[in-house]
Amino acid sequence: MKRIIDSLDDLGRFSEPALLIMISLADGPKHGYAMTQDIEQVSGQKLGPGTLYGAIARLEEREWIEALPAEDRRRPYKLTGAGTKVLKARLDSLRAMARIGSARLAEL
Amino acid sequence: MTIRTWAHAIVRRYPAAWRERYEAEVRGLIDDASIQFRDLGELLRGLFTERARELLTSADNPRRTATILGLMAPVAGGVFLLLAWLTGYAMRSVVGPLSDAGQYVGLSLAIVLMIVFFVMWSRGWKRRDRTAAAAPGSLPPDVVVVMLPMLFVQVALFAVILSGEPDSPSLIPNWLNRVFQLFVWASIAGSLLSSLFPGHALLQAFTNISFAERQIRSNEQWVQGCREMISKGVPSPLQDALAQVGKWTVERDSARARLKELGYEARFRGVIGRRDSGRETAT
Repeated sequence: MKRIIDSLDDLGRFSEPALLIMISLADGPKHGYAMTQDIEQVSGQKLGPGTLYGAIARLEEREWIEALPAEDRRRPYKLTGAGTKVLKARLDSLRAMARIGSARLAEL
Repeated sequence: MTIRTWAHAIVRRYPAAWRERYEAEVRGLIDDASIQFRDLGELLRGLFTERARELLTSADNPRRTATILGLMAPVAGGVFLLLAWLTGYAMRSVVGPLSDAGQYVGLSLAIVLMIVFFVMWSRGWKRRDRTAAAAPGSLPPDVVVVMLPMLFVQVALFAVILSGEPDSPSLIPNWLNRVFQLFVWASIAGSLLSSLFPGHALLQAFTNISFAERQIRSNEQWVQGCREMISKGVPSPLQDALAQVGKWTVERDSARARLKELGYEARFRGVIGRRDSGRETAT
């Protein structure tokens, strides 16, 4: 039986690339190349093919993203409902951390 | 061969099931995007990981498989050294005995390479992944893919220079000197290969799980014994026994968490889960 994993931390070294991929898919389906371009533009990080598809495979396994019909060699992916919830939860936690961090810095 | 050709060659070595699902897309990405040397390191690391995942998924005995994987780095290090040494030895057979000048040039080149090698090691060490998910001491893959060929050339050069030379008299016996060199080089090669694949960390996590489970079983018997003694009115250290069960359960869970950090938890979960539920039923 498939266990429901609800945290990106479960992805080990793929957790950060997975977060970037989910953020990239948040505004609509994208294929691998479009994701790398978008992620580079948003975060300044260039994901190589090994890391990108390692993270995509794990996200698909957990049903947080799903593949759409392929267009030639390019296959777009989109966020699923479960993936959207996980992404929202992670962004909320990052937002809370950023707020606390900024407040502490302001106290200095 | 271009970097792109190398990248395609690495993708061809991925497991069949992975290739069936992702090969066309990855090949498309390699052709469309600008591929750099560091991407080869990433692809190599992915290759090891996916191969390991395939092996572990299909294995009946994940602990045994993890042991094999844990031994992969030192064995691969030994094979790597042997290949490098044989290459040097073969070159020596073709070139023949080196002149003094040839030996001087070869030795200088080997020393320069060694210095560059250790500078790269030191820089890679500063850039290493310090998160808990990384294997201890592992270097960035893009540094490792440059260092491995350098090590290969160094060992081959030493083989060219040293093979066939009469042993010089020294305080340390020559065989001991050679064994020491072999050990140092094998450790370096094994450590570099471990940076591409966390086999050692996997082995450690599985050994810890196995040991903790044995301790839990033995302490559960102690708890049972204590309860029987208490039921007969004989005082017994039940609290100590329960504390031991608790302690080893924490150890086991922490080793499982380590597996999870390494990205293998999902693959092993079925087996570990079944084993747990069996014990719960038995107790």
